Amino acid sequence: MTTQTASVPSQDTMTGPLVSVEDLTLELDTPHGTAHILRGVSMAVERGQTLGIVGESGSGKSMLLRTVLGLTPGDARIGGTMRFDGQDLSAMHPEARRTMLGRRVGVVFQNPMTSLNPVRTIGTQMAEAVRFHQKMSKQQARELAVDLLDQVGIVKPRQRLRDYPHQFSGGMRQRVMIAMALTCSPDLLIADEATTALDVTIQKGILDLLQRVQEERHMSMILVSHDLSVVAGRTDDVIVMYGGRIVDRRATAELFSPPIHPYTRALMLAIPRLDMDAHTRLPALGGNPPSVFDPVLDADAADERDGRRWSTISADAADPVEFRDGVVPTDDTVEPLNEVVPGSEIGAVGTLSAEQQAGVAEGGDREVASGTLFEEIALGADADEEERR
Amino acid sequence: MSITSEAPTRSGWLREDALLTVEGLHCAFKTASGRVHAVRGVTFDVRPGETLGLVGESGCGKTTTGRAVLRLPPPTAGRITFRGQDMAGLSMSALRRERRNVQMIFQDPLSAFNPRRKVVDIVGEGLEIQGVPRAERQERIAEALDQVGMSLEAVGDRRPHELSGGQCQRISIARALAVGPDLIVCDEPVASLDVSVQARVLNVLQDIRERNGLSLVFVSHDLAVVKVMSDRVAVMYRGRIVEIGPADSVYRTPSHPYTRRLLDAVPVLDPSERSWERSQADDDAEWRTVDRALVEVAPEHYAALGEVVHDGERVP
Repeated sequence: MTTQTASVPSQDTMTGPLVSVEDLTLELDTPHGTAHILRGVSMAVERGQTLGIVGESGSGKSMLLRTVLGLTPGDARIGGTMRFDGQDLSAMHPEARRTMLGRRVGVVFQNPMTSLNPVRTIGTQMAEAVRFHQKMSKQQARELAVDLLDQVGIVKPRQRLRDYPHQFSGGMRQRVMIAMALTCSPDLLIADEATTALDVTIQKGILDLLQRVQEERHMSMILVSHDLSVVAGRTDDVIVMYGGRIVDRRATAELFSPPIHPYTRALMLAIPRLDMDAHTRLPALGGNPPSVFDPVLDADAADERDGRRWSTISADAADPVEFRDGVVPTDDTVEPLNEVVPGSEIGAVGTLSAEQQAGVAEGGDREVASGTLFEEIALGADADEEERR
Repeated sequence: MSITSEAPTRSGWLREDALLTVEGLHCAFKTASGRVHAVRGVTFDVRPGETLGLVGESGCGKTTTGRAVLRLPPPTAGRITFRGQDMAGLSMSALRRERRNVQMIFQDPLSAFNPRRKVVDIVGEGLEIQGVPRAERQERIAEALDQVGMSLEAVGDRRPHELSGGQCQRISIARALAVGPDLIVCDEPVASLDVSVQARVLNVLQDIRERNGLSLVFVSHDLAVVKVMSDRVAVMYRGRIVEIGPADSVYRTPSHPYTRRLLDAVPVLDPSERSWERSQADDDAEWRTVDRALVEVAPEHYAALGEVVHDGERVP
């Protein structure tokens, strides 16, 4: 379990990972009961590297980042440890933590219009961010803003400082957001579904820009997306989240190397591809993701209750849709899910040891891990939430 | 009627057996900063049972083109023929009757639904307008919901906010389906959905298309989505079609530099999906090759690589 030790920050803050999170849990009280948003997440962001986080809506990918950034509601119950550059975030005073992270982490969200103030000019908003964190005159802040807008590819930056957010197109607004995220020269840049609302060509421009600034500044970066193809080829590592957990983690270069996790595979197969024939039926995931309101991972009839989601995935694993040769493994390299889920030992797996979980998350021994993991997921799966309401 | 009489004549490459024919379509809007020509001379046709993908970036006019088919709003110029009938000449009441045969699915179902109405009323509204008796209505609502994999008992009494994005989009499909159309214009129906939910909605669309022998005009900016849905593809750029043809031919041998740029931008899991190379020359050529006549580059595959044309005279 060598990777396990790597996620524990070393004494020397300059050598350990920039961000490390261990067994993080997040619970929120809602009118419908307690929502279990994160169910024991361990991960690390290495210095100067890009991490991709992939998952469906509600898998907890955005909440994981918000928890690390301290952007959770006041009554949230948080367990586990979070470290940024070796400092224990949970032990810090909220104010001190905000000041530190505000300067060292830049975030770009999906919808720039909700992050920008519609009645103030871009210049004012950028200068505000700069002067909040750094001692600078208005003039210096303005010069920095011009320089940053120029770096993110905005033409005539000096003139555009006087413009309001609505005077920019969607893609340009996102560039402004990136410029604003860069104002304090952060160590970490987070792009949370930053290109989801954009056209393909604009999306490519933004992704290229993010990659460029990450490389130029030797920052760490986290790319969050529901689309695996967005993070493929642009990240060093990929984490796949499901039901508030990390179910697969691997180097992006090994994304297609067997054994491939059946859930990751299901996500891949659901993506339409340019080489598909007209009227191809996509192997969609059946059923529903697990409910956040399920407190314990009850083993009984998990598959039945979530609309046979895992049976669907296992069927796909046994009869894979044809990918290109050598890209996605054939079925004999995959542990078929149906051999795992309905197993008699499901009940016993409800309490995975920390060691087992780590093995799963770290992917140390994936062939075994994918089995244990799927049992774990099956346990977390909940009743068809739609029908229940 | 705002339709001008100088619509171009039926040209050689439009097919006689088409269900929908759009010729020389122009759409202009008045804005504070002058007239905006959103669509500038678009010509295409759709056969019964065929799916045409309309693809392009924001602002290329693809949505306006799709909506113009239903006269939402009426085009500035051009001729739209549906089942041999000129849509422009229809009176308001005749148009309303005709809309039973042409339906639309919008990008954001939540804003397309009345938030205070129940699913059963939303799906049944078209039938009500068409004057279908109540008893039959209930039956057809149940049938339409069944076709999108939902049951009237389970969702009928719910309101839109109680449903997920994917479910809303399926309700939207059921609503379009309920009146029994021949053609559905789908405007970015999966743009706001997760990949897994997107796959489910696309499959539902494929199923209803196959089962009911529907024609679809599928508008999207996502070329991969368009590829799995469409028999034919029209690439739009700055209000014009720059390339149109059988999907396989357009994707395997993209002829227009703009098509290549679009294809190049698609994020793919596996780079070997791309079968062409984009060059610097493409960048240079792109801007010079928008306002050009369509020429046949492969069987039934046309690209804007011909003579320079001016607005209104673009039908080959």
